[in-house]
Amino acid sequence: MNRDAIVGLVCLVMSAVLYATLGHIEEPRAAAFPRTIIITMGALSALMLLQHLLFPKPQAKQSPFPWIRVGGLFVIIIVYLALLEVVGFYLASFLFFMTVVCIMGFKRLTVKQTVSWVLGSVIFTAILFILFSVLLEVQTPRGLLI
Amino acid sequence: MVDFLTYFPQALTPINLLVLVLGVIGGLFLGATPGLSPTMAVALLVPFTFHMEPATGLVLLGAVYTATVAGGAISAILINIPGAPANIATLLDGHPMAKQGQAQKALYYCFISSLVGGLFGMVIMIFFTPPLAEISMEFGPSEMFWIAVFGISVMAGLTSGSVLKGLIGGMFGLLISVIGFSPMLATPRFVFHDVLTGGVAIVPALIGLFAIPQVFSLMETSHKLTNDVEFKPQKGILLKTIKENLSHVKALSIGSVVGSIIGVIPGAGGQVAGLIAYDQVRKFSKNPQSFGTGNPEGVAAAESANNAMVGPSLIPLLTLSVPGSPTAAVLLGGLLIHGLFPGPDLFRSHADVTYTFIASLVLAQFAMCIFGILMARYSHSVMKVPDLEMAAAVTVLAVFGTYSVQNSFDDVIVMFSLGTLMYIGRKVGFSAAPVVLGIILGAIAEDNFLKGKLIADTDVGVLHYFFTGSLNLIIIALCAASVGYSVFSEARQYKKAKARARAKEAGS
Repeated sequence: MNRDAIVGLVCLVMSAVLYATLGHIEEPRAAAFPRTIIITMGALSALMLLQHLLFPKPQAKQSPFPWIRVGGLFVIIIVYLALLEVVGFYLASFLFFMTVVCIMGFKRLTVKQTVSWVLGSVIFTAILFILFSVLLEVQTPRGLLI
Repeated sequence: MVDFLTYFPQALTPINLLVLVLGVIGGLFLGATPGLSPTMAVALLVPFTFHMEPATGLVLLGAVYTATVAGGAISAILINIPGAPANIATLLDGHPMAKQGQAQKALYYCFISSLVGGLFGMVIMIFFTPPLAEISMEFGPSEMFWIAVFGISVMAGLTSGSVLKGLIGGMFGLLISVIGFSPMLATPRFVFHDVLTGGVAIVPALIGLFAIPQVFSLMETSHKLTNDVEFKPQKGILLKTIKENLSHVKALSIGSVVGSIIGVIPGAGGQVAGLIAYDQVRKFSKNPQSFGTGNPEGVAAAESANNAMVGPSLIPLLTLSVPGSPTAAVLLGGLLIHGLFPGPDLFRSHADVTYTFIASLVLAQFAMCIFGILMARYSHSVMKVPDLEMAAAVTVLAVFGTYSVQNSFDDVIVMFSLGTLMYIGRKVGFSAAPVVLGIILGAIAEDNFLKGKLIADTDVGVLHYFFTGSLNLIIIALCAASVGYSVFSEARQYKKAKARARAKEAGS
């Protein structure tokens, strides 16, 4: 089964699961519109599955996926979000910026480069502070520190 | 036209002019940066406008929209990577010109042609939008429901590689729009977690769907920019280039007309406008073989077309809530968060805001040309922004932009979750534009679906109500035509791919 057929199958299963949850909606009239959408989505998914089973497209070879870089960034963002309400927006953003450039750019890591990254992170955070807290006076996630 | 002239001075207030200039400079910079799309730039800015006067906020969004489309030509010309999808046609002749040592001339051509095309598009917009808005008064719940379906069907067909994926994406967006309490019956739907109790707001969805996938994509491969262009600033070529550029009347006219027509068609977008105009100018040229080798006419055609598209792409948006391009879809989100709903009311009750916005778009065309030309000599340095810093900065801005709208951390979680899902979706061929449109048009579709159903139940029945009447039938026919056209082009591409594969097999 090619990739697009699998995508069609996943969408079809998702439509079926969502359709099953419609029973939990107390007022039947409130379920009318979502039901129409889910049935349409299910029909389109079934069409896609059939299309790619009957007329499979030649698949281009893909380069290996950079799991470590993308997965690493995903984890760093999750930690950043978790820290936002603990240490506050500005400190969390400074740490996030530093972590991304240092960890993801470790191949370029030299003393000169590290100093420029630290300076860059400080300047970036300072600009954020001046723009958001001083000029726009908007609220940012607050934590223990700022 | 009278209303436009009446409200024109409001676009000239110091704050609006300052925002306009900053928006244009920022937009040129963002457009020139490979990896940052105009749609994402506008999506990131939407929450900032929340803290501004509606007119000033829209001036900013309009200026960025105009400038990013033109700014994308800088990287197309200098490093052969279009800064925005709208600039694909620009690189065909722009980059060869740059390789021949005419980078600065190519950039001047790009901004002058963009100004000509952009002004033409604005004239079309100013004359056609108010009368079309009046026609939309004739629309009842059934017609409005079909208009919402039309918007999704067109966007689905033209922005994804596969019409089925586009339509499924649109349905997914519609489903996201119904999360939370039903607006008419106050019943909770699909509230699987407390975070979803209030539903999914437009701004977190916009930012998540456009910014987060881009952040992950930036991380996948650092841009290995193969810069084969040596940029040497030349003095005293501006006046000569303006004269030469304006003498290409045929290329500029075809580009402007094609761009305006494509702009009005919902969902078509700038990349189609640029490519079609380029192709037409080449066909009408006495020297078609020179295209692709550094012919300035190619740059003039592509750039006049993609900026001519900007104004007309807002016609269906301001009259019917159907955006003419993915960026216009994000602009719709900007209008809605300021409580401005497309239709005739926009030109009556909110005439001051609407006409100030339109006037600022005209001014933005001039500002884009002036600052573009000024920046042209230094534009090569824009290409040096490193991906890692860009990815980190975009993430921080996305988090802040999302949080600032309602001071809600739940919105940040929704934004990141949707963005991660969209990144996976993009990997298997889905596009963000139909999903966003589904979310935005979902409320309009459901509201009118339920109103129509109520009317139909007491009168002629649902099928009769939704499927009869000349306006309903015209819009349904348009939906069928847009899906039919997309299916036809997909089938044609499939045949071509199969023929190529067969030829390859026979060759080996």
